[in-house]
Amino acid sequence: MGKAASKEPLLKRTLNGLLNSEYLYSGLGLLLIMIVSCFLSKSFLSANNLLTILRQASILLMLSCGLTAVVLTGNIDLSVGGNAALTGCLCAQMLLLGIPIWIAIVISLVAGVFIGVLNGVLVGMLRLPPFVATYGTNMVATGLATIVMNGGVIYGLPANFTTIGTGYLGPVPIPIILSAITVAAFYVLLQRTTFGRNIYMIGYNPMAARYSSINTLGMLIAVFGLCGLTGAMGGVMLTARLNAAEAAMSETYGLQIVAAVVMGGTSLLGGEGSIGGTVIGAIVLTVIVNIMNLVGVKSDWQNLAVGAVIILMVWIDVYTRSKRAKRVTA
Amino acid sequence: MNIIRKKAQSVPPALYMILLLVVVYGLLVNNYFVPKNFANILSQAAPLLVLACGQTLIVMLQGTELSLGSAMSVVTVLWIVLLNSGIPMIPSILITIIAAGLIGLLNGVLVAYGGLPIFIVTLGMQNILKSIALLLSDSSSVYYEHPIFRTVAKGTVLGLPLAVWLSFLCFGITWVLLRKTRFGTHVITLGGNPESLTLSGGSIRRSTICAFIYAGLMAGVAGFLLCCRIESGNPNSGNGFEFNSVAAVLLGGTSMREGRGGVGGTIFGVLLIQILKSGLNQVGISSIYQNAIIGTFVLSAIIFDAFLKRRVEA
Repeated sequence: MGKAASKEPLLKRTLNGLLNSEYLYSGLGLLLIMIVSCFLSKSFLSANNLLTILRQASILLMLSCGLTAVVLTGNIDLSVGGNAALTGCLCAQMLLLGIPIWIAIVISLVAGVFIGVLNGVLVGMLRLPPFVATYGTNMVATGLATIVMNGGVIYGLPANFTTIGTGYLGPVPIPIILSAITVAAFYVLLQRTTFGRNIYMIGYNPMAARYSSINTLGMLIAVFGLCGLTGAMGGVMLTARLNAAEAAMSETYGLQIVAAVVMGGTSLLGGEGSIGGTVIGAIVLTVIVNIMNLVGVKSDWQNLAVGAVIILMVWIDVYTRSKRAKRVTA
Repeated sequence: MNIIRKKAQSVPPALYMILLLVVVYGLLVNNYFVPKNFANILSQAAPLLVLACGQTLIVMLQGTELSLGSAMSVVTVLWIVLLNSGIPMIPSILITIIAAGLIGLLNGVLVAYGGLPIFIVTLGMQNILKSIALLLSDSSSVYYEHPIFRTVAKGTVLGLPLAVWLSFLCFGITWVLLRKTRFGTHVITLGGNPESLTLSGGSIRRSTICAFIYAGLMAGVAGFLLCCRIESGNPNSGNGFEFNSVAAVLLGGTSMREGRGGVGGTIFGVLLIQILKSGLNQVGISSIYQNAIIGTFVLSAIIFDAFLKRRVEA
């Protein structure tokens, strides 16, 4: 870098930056899928549809933000769905009891953080394998949600609340604003703070992280707690958007949350990835689901697609990693 | 005191909890200690036991097979669908078993050749299989009339249903497989020390794939047993079985970290979970609460077990 580089034409530099960007493949993928979708359905490009995609994606994105941080440390959290369901149901029940909106939201968020911290303790202190622990907490959270709802559904929440999911701030839907703020916050956290750097370190080389001055246990609890927080925020947003709550909400996004993170290029083995990738991943996934809905594909096939996508993306990640390793040692 | 502690650690923790549960239920439920009750419990536990036998192998490879439950659902649906389309009993059983084995093969190949983490492959596969089950059955239960279902599920030999004997048979086969065959030794080595497996002439890939095929076959048999019990093909019937099977294996003392353990402990884990489940029904706790209670209990048991192990390591 220096005087020589700044003499290069702006266009060339921008192109270079784009081509070398880690978002190249996912960005191209998104472009490709959108082009294909235009051919598959005439209503794809309608303003209404695009707005729906953005709304849907913003909730998914919110849920996936915290998970990105967890995955960056080399762990996983399968309980985001159950977390969202439990917090959403709690919030709805509280609203029905007449509790003021802000208090209900805050209590729900605290509940979400609590579940996240629990996960962090299970994984960090008791060294339970993360997928076993979070699979279990997912079951417990969904079960608790069923209890809270007494097995039923709640319809019809106060308008002041549902505006979180359906309202606008000017021309922009509120969920998009909320997730944009969250994404920006995570960007700053992950890329510009020591906390973020430590997260990458733990994922890249857990041994070294433990022997360094990083408080691994504290970090894990914090990261899982963050994931619980964004899970709860997503749950509240989802409830607001649906204007309803039930325990089955845990399956609304289900595995898509993991898929969004994975598709964004964040490696499940830790240490690699970014929040920007998750943004692209969430959008791509939502576009895929959206186009499948428009074309009339049954929701069962959609589950199949999500499963296959995850396997494919992880395979690509493992493959490129081993290629890189070979290049280094060769 | 130390000797007592050491002995206490070699007994699967599941055994203590079984005793605790039995005592508690015995107090809460009338007629708990009758043979018929225990026969019922064993009968309900049969599919889980078979599934957990297959899961034991995968856990010993330091992984968790999350697709086994959905594989069971697919098996129940596939069997009924085949029967409904006119294929006679024996060929439809054969085709279904082969399909189950193929599922295992696919998982194994993805893990062995793709280098993918086991839980990712099986998590993705779980979703794929769930969709397949729903698509095959058109999102509802499918039915077929045949005496075999009742015979297996309820026809008793020496007081225990045929299904229970079948599950014991699978347990026995798995035990022999792990303890007495070369393949079993390879699986145990693979979990604890993969390098030594290659050095001693085994093939990591082959053993991994075979372990997954075995788990798939076990899921097939478990699916048969389940189908006989519910006398229908239900695409959601297997949901949750994989978590319970992993829990059963872990509670039985098989460790994911060193590839230690075996099916001997798994049967206790299965009994524990089933006793808990059946007891909840008998005490009259509504199904709304059951999932949460079972999930909490299993999670606590795993935590307790990890806690014990931590003390040992420290």
